[in-house]
Amino acid sequence: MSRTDPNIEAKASAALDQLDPVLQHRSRLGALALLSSSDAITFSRLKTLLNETDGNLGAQLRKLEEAQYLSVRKEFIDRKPTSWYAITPAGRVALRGHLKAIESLLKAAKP
Amino acid sequence: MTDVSQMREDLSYVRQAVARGRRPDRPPAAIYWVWGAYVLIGYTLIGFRPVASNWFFAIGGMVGGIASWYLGRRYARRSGHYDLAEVRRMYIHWLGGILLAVAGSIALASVIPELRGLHSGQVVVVMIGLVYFLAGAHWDRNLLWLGPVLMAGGVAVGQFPPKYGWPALGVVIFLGLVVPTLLPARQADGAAE
Repeated sequence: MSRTDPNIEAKASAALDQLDPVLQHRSRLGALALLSSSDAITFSRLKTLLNETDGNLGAQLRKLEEAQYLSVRKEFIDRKPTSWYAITPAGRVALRGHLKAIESLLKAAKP
Repeated sequence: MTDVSQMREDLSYVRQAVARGRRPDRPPAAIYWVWGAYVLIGYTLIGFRPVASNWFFAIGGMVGGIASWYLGRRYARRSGHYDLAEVRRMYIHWLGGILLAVAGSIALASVIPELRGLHSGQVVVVMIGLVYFLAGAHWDRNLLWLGPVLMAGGVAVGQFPPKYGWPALGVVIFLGLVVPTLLPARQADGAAE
């Protein structure tokens, strides 16, 4: 099947429109994917799992928080301030839609 | 314009991060010590004070369950990762598995008279060995061999006088549970993937 097939092009175009701009950064997508399969994860654990720096991860998580895709709870563990992140229902819907759009795009891009 | 190859790279990055997050950690060492002590004391009591051992297994099991919950929760807080679905799976496996082992041995004893008395304890232990083995398949590779050892021990213990056989099996299982916690931690030691 050719990539210029109008049917496939239309599907790809529709999938592109469905991509969530907030999740088009891999750290944000990774953080939301990790949180979708857990109840809560701390900042430092996310940093380890995503191989990110403090500054970058902090900025990306703030964007997810602003989009109301995740919630944050702060507490002290062994006298250290700890931030726990959890995915919100809106974040779960956004992640599902974004992954579906990626899947459609990758299918359309198959040679 | 979204580049497809960039998208594939990003997905691969996410997949790796999720795989790292799913890699099962061994439960905290203290949990193995709690259950190692439970088995050692309980099996020793079977040999010397069989009636007391019934009470010990019932009350000690509840205390051990609460202690495991507390230790697991403390570990999750420190490791920075709460996964209640995993906790539920563990409880269904251990609590459900052991209750079914006890219920199964009662059911078997009701139709096979030879399995009553001290033999019912052997049947429970053989079935609990299977629960250990399945835990090894899911979480802790060490239990893959300890399960069959417990099953074989449950059969073999009937060949010896109770005051020798049961305490000896208790020592073997105690060592099988706690010795690995003293060895250097192996990463990704969780399950037989």
